[in-house]
Amino acid sequence: MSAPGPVEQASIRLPAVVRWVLRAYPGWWRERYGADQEMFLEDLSAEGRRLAGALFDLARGAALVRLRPAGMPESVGAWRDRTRASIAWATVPALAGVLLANVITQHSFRNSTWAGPASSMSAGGRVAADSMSAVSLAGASLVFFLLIG
Amino acid sequence: MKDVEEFAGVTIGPGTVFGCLARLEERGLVEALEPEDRRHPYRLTAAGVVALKGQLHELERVTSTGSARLGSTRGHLGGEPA
Repeated sequence: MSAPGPVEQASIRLPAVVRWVLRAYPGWWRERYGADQEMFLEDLSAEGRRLAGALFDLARGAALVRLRPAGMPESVGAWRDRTRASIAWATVPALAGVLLANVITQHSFRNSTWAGPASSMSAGGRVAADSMSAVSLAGASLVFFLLIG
Repeated sequence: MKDVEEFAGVTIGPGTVFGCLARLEERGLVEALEPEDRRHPYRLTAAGVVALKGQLHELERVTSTGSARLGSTRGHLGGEPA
């Protein structure tokens, strides 16, 4: 079995959008399969096939490789695990701190006699809402970084 | 890919091809050889040959069973038995 296609064509310039989608693959993948994949696409182009149809398949492939990294070298896997652990160690205490601050703020505003300007939400409520937004954003970032490694 | 299209009648996209290749390589069923003119040739490993034979045997069993049952059904319905 040979990685795919005839060799008779000299290097063909792939469209920018194809190169852009190829960059969606992780670095270790591009290092391992990038050249083969580009030559495969060049062969398809040389055969007169439209690469537009391949774009979706490439994008889907890049997403799958990021979610289920088959063939990832162990060294890269170790780095990814270490990065995930670092992110978790840095973010989880920060999230806990924001939540604690939120609880303290709500408690102190509830017990204070200060009456702010009339609005639909009290100052304590606004602070709580802001801090909850920050927690949500940080949580979403954490999930994102843990997913993409 | 042309070969696959010709004998199997399916078109496989470049993302799918290399995704499969990576999984096969990870499972030790194929291995990359030294690059030739920038591209890596791949070959089946011994484990790959065993796995492929197993798959083909399973397919053969399914098709023969299916054909036999289809034949008996056609016979039952008054058609030509296979």
